[in-house]
Amino acid sequence: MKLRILRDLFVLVALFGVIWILFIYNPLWVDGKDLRMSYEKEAELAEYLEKISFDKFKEVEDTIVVDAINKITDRLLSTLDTSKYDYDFKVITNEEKNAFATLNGNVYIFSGIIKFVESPEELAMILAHEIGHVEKRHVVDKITQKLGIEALFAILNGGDPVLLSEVSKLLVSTSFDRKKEAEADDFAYKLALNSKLNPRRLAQFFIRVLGEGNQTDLIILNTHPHSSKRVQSASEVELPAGFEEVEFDINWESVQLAL
Amino acid sequence: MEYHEIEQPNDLTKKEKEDAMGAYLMMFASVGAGLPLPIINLIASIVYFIINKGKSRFVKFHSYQSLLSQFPTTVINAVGVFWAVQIFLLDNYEVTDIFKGYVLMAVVLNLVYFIFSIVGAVKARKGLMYYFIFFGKLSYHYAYAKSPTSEVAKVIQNVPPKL
Repeated sequence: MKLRILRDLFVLVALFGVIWILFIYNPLWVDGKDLRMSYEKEAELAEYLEKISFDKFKEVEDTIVVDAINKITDRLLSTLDTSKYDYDFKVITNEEKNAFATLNGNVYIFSGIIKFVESPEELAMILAHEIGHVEKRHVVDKITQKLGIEALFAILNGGDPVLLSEVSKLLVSTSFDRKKEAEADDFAYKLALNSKLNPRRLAQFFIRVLGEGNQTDLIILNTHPHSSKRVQSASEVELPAGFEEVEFDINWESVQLAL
Repeated sequence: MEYHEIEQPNDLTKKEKEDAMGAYLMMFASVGAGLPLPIINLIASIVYFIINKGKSRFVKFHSYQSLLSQFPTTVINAVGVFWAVQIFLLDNYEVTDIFKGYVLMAVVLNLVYFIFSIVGAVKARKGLMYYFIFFGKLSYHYAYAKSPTSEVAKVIQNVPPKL
């Protein structure tokens, strides 16, 4: 009797154990990427949100600044293999030290971060990281995960003000989990190498960010956590033999003074 | 080990059959209330079992089988919910193939459990025994095994004189 009961228990445990293992190696799982918002919907949502949420930002139009940003972004984007996005980098008058990507390739760079970084190469690394978030669709994933795709379509169909404010908050405070930050960093390293920039510039930047961690306006620290580990990984990026950085032909001081 | 005789459908009252069926249906009623914390259905089953176990062996068997079979599903579901919270709300872990496999296995387990419970409820309503793998034998043993005290009672029973 006892033996038969134990045998049955063993059969049950073994059966469901095998089912688990089978599903691990052959998951009948809908890939999360297939459930993502389409690029067309993302563009539609981005247009709507930019109009409503980010119109309050005052864009910097000074040609020195705009030209410098164009030089940096042109070099980065020219080495991007293929992209579904038509990038738009905007410099915003805001003393917070922050830069973030929103939907559909829109990237906001606050004047505070331009004043904080010591070279255009450092800023290029930050922007390469943000491009990484865009290309890996981290922003889309984050807001769909937090709000649900239905809520996002509800915004498009009616613009619920509560939902709208939630999405705006999520877009501005784009902190991602460890894995996504690492993914964006890896993307930035590759993009930097292809653009003849030294990826270790990102480590330089993080070291200074960590050194000034007590500043309340250092938003980039809050939105890009886990910096100490990232310093290490950025410092350990292997440079190809004979690699030489090609610095930007930009007078950085004049750019900073123009802000 | 000796066992009490199993009641046949005609020996059972309608009330006994309905009480036995209720043990399985209880789970369906409480599972909705238990989500996303799959512990409520287990508590409901324990209460149902305590209330009904004294009624008859047939009811005791079905209530106990329903209760026992809920333990693994409850534990598996609770682990799944805890794991999902860690991944999606607290960002402590990542979605891995092991997690995906676990979720699919839990879905299969819940489906199997639901199907067995429905069959169990229908059979109980008809006054029939229905043995789940493992839990059926355990419940039968619990409900029908003659306890040592009943053996003693048998020994000291009054008997007519030998004529």
